[in-house]
Amino acid sequence: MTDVSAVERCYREQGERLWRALVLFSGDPDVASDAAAEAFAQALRRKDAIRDVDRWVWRSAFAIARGELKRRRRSTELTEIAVEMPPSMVDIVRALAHLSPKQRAAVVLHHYAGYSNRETAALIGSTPAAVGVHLERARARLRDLLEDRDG
Amino acid sequence: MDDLDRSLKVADEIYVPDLWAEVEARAARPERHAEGGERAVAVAIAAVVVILAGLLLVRAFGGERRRAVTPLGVQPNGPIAVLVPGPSSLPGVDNTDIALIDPAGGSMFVVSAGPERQQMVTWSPDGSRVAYIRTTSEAQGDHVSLVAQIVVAGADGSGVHPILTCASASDCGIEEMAWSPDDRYLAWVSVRDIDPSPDANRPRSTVEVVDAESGVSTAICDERTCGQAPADLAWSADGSRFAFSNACYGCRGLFGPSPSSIWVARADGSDLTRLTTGGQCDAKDAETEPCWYDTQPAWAPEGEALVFVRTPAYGQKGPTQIVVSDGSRFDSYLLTEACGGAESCIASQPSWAPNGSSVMFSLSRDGTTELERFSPSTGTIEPFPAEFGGSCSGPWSAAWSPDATSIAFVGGEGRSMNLCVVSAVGDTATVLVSGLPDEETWRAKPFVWLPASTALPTEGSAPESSTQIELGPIPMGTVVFSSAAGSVDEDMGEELYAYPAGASEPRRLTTNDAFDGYVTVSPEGSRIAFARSSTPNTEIWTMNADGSDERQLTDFRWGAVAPAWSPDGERIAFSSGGDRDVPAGLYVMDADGSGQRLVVEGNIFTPTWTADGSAITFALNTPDGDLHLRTAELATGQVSSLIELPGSQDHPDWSPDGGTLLFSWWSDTAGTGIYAVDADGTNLRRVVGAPFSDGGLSWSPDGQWLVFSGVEPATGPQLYVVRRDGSDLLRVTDMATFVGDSTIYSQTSYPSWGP
Repeated sequence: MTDVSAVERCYREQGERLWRALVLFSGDPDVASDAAAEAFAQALRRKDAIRDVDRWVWRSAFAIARGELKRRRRSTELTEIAVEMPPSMVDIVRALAHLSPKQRAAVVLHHYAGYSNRETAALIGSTPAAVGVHLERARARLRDLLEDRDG
Repeated sequence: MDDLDRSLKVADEIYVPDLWAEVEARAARPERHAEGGERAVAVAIAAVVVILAGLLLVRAFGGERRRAVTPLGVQPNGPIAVLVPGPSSLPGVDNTDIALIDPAGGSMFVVSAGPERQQMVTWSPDGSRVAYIRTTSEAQGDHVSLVAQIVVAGADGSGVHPILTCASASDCGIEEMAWSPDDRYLAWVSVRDIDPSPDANRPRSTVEVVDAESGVSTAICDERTCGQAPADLAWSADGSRFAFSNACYGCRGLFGPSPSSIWVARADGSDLTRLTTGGQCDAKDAETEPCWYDTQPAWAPEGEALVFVRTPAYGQKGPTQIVVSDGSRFDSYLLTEACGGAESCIASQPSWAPNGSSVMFSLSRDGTTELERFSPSTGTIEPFPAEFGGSCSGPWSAAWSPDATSIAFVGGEGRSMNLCVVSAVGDTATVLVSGLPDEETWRAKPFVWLPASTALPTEGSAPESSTQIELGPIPMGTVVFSSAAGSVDEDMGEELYAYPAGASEPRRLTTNDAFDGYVTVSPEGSRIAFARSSTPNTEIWTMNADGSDERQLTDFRWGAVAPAWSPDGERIAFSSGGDRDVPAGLYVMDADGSGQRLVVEGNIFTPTWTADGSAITFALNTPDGDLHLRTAELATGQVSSLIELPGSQDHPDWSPDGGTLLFSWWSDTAGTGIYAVDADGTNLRRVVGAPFSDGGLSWSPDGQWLVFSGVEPATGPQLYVVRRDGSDLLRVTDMATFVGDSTIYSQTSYPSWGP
């Protein structure tokens, strides 16, 4: 069972990392804020039914962000990058935008948030082996894109 | 890739806003659907409450305690109406049915046995009418589309007529509905209209009263006239007025404390009145001025009394209160003793007894929810003396029986929510219906206890049982699969297993630190192909059926997965991320790894050969992020589509006779299910829905069965078999796996059925 203080504890401990991961995933601080706030709010509402609030919030936030991107029909190409991002951040967000949503989520959760293949699979609704596939292809694509930038 | 890790770490430099106040504010307003926009399916409030010690039933302000309401004559009980999962389904639509339950005998009668999905089912007070969102799908040629309607019907499912038609349930934009006592009008909260003003980025909520016959609606107020996010619609007993709560997000900006008020209007929309102000949230020093959420109004069965819940807004100190008002006077009752010093203490969902003598509500103390009973005449608040047990724990949405002798509520653990009932004087709660649809259980009123005038049907069909699926044997051949059993908390990897018919348990084929998955048995059963994921790559390997003679067949810079044997066993198709000079795509090679060649370029998943070996069907990751099935002719490279569906399709597998293609299908209105379609793209049908969990599927060699990866709350991820017509569903593995409501691992997955 989970209570309000557990949700708030999760927010205090993981809110910043989750929000930054969502910015990497969506390329949009507004989407990140909306998804993070909504995920924590839903956790508060459902508190009695959630045992692992950390995992629940991460999974829900990424699902909400993906839904929002889909709604905006900009899941494959991010044309506007928020101006307050550092230039290096703009580059990586633009490169990530060339990945499929699941590849992008796998890269952010595994390489930025530090989740294992197995944990990433649980968070994005996939299998560890499939996450391995997403990561392999994402790394390949990113290597090309970032090498092009550096070159 | 260290460079990638470093590149991503730049995100640590960006400023992160503090969103907690926004989180609190959102938690206090209606829930939205996952697709975005503000959509409500639940009524709940949450806030951190710091208890003021030593106070007991202090009236915060107002005059004397209110008079007792006039007792009404009680009525005998009729059935309980509830939504249950249905047995059949339209393509892409999870079926639900309205059922009537005999609370005495527990027998159940389905009154709307159609294949559609019903949501937000709302019964009229006398039980004679029902309104709900109805979603169906239509197949036209090789396309399937969804249609949603708000419909009104008789309580027995007869006389269905639509009053609003939309592209999907979420497009209808109705967040909650409430019938007037005379069954003539529906009050609802609509978010259909998006605010066109450039500074608004959220859908606009409107409270409307709708004629249930004509569908003509009258707007009562919108966000410009009474603030944002109205919810908790409640009609007065005589039908002359209705109340609702309303969270004002604009009062102190998006991230400031935001009060929630109680509003009252006449049924025709006149005399709209803000009954409470939500305190002084607009004050500069909100830390010292009271500011709260007033929510969940409930009218007494007779008279003017309105009870609602008052919770301090975020950042505010003070106890949760139950407030009773007659429209001019407000008597507040603090829950200090009931909260008992708990760090968090949240009251919700007040429900009047039919005779008006008491109000039952849920009280969540530090995450443990129980029922409390409040007596307006005396101001006493006392725990409801009942034993809830695990199956009825966390009582929610409590409602009285018409004769006031019993309480029904939703309870349960994890994702398994049940309809429970307990005597009004206490005792042990019992389960009436198990396995309610998840989304319905979070609504304020997911069921209704109807008066005795609602007769039970003389004949009815029992819904499918939601009890645990029976463990049984593998019917034939040998099933090979991947499982992480026993290595859940350590990253030990997944291993391969073989489970022949007649064996007592699966035999482990591999033992290593890698992830071995995507396993597939050769047609004659002598070799096994699989993908092994170890540093730095995932590549395709083969081995003998007993686990000996492992050989690595591929070496792509960006890996290869999902091997599939050709029907003659001579070749293997697979998916690769490519290499420096070759693209990602679908490849074919000889069974010894030689002769690798690209067939189709793209982000391709789970290929499978057609029965004659002339073509390969696969899932293509399209730019919208979804997977769609395509078939490539090996001779020409020509790619075609057998069927176009919304959502994602994956795991295609052709029947041995080539006549039927199985695949998984996920869409916004349905969980993942296994579907079948004939080879000409017609006769789309669902073979099995739950407990399929998208971890792969395979035909049996004789084409009479299929094996798939599924999950049940009690057993975790396991393998299941079912006949090709959807009958004789059995669980066939009992692998030790992690079980939890937030777990969606397919730890026992990629089944392949060999001879």
